[in-house]
Amino acid sequence: MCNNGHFWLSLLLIGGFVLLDFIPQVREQKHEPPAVCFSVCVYAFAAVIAFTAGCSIRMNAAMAIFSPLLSLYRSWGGDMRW
Amino acid sequence: MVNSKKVPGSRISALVALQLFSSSLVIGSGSEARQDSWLALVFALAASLPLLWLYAAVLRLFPGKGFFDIALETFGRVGGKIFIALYFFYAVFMGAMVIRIADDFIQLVNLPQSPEVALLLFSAPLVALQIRFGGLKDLSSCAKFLLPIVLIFVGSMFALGLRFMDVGNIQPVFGSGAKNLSQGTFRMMSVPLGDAVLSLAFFGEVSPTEKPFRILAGGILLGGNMLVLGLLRNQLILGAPVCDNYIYASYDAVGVINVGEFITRISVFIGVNLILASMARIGTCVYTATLGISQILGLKESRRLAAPCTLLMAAASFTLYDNLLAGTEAIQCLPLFGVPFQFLLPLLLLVCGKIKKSRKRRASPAPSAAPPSFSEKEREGADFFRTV
Repeated sequence: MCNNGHFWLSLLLIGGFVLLDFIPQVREQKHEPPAVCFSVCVYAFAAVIAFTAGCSIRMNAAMAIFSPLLSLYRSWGGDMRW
Repeated sequence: MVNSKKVPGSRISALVALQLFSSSLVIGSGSEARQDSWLALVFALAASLPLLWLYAAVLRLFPGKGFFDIALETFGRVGGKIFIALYFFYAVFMGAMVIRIADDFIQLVNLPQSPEVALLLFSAPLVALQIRFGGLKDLSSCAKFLLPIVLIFVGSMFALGLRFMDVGNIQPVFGSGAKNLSQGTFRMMSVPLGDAVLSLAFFGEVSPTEKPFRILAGGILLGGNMLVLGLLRNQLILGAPVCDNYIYASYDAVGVINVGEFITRISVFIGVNLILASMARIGTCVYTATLGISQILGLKESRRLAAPCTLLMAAASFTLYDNLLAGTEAIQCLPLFGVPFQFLLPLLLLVCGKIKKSRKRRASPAPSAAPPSFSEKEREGADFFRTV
């Protein structure tokens, strides 16, 4: 793994959140299942991102979101100079 | 008198003002308007008032309710949840963007060898804890405490920089042309000022007697005027062409300032400003996202998901762009991205809310109508007293 420091620190951060937030939430007698499901999805997503960033796989999500907007704006004759 | 469980409007104003500083102070914005960037910001401030009126009109539809409650009331269960999901995505995206900007700035300027996530190890749990256990009350109290500190920093840096300023740097005034000036105005109206839309979800916790327009305008005008001061300082010290070449124009402009031998390298205050304001902005995004997701999932406790939302933003921040240059390009596109969330969707909500409210009013019987059991004579008497 190229970016070891990032991976282990990310795992530490996720582990801290799981230990201090997720486990107490699950242990509660009146826990709400949709909240637990959402939390599981977020922790899994964070772990995947930690792994990909640890492997130095970089993503460009912002431009993926913006590029259709930009092309639409340009097709209307817009001038995106800023 | 304000209800003790409600958050005073002045604190929300402070929160709105503080979050304006978060990324705008370090990024020399308004480059297309060149030496008129400060004027573009002044125009943007004036132009943002109708936008704030729009937000206030939405909040006045159902006084005492938050933005998301109003959406649910107006669009129904399914439509409302789709509307809220859009704002949840926007809050997560903007929160991730602010985290990434702050992270990049600190890593580039102060801690080049540390992994990006190292800074999040300290800041993310703090924000999550604050939202989870303190809620809006703590977030807004912090903002009210921190705002004067940031204002003092900005004011003192302007005063110390007076010696290094050249008025020729902002001349000729209006020299950038109408098109560039209007583009700059649009950009500034969208990026720092229009993001006040993220604070609308808080108004469910503000007393219904307080006026939303006054709260929002107070924050925007206070923060906006300080931004004008910051932008003017950058332009007067460095000049527009140099500002355009720097990614962090404020940091470099303040780096020029030194008073004698004992006040030097005060650019560190820019970093302090950024951290304080970013924490407020990230807190706002996390709180809005938390309220949104709890409405979507129908949770009883709205702050339950503060920690996962913080982690989601932190993780998403690493997927936004792969290097700083791609980042600056992405930041330039933010105004275009913000238009639906800042203007179109609130306008849609206002129009639909008004129609729904007027239909409801028509459907329910008018309270002033005389009961049918009244005789003609009694009705005439009642009409007489009504006219008197």
